[in-house]
Amino acid sequence: MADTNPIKQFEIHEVAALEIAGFDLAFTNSAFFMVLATVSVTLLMALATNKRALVPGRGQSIAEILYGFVADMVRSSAGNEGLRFFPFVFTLFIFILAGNMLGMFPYFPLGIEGIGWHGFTFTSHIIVTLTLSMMVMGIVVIFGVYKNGFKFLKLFVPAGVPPVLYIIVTPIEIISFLSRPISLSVRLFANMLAGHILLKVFAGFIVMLAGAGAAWGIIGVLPFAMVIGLTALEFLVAFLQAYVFAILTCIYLNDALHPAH
Amino acid sequence: MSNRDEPDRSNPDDHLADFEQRLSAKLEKRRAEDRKYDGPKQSWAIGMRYGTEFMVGVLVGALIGFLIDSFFNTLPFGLLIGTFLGFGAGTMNVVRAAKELSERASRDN
Repeated sequence: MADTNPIKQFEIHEVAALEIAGFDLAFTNSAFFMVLATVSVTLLMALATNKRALVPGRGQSIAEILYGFVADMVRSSAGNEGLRFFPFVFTLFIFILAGNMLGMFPYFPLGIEGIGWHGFTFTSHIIVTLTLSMMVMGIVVIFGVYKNGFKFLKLFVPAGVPPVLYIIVTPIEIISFLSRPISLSVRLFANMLAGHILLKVFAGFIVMLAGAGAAWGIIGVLPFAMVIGLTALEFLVAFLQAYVFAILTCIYLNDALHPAH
Repeated sequence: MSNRDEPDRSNPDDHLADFEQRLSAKLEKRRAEDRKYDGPKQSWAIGMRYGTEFMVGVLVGALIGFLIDSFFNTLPFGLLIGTFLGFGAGTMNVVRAAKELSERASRDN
């Protein structure tokens, strides 16, 4: 019977070994899909915009809509000043979106022994999403301190609170600030992980029912319908989570630009 | 001056106000149209957001309390206080998220 283990899709496999100064920096399938996401997005964008037509064609329209979409998002959450972070937010959004969407495609040629063709979602690994969100928080803290100096700490001392309450409010604000990168990364990771497991579990039911023989295979139509529905939902989630990640990045960057709220 | 297409150059304010009015009416219609489409899929993300926002607040608070405990060897107290403060932080996260979302909704209206 076919392998129906729903967790197997998240396994990391080594593609090419690489060791630098005792650290295992092997090129894995996760890294392969990140490179694939970066390369495909870069190629698509370059192809879409190389004509620079006054009246855009299909490809250029998509590129322009994406650009306008992210620019609007940045401007509405972080103001015009926030537009200096536009390249960062755009890259982040498109990288996550490409990663989520590549994860929806089940078969990519990747010559690993015993694995062969397979699909992989790098955003379903918390270390990847945590790295991305730490990058965001690093920029917020560094830029916030660089631009506002000590005034950045106003973030932890909200105005209009009786002084006695600062004993409680400041620790709460600090915890709230520290929880941001975690909530940012956990949300993306949990959505992708749960969605893909669910998809694989229901797909596994089809295989199991088909393998049970006799009339059981007919019942397999039910999980099959479910898988179709879930696939559509997963495409929605793939876009939505990239969007949520990007818009929260904008909101946090707004704090770095204007710390007193 | 009887021609409607010809702008009234003697009174520029009036002409602009008229244009402004027509434009905002068009935009209003368009926005109402847009809102119809982004209802249900947004609510999924909003629910998910409130959930994680609260959970993470409590977890981070408890973790910080525990770290302080293991540093100063005061085991139950830091964890307790940290969890309480984390509860507060989680609630504040949710309130802040709700405020952001309602602000954005009222700006769109």
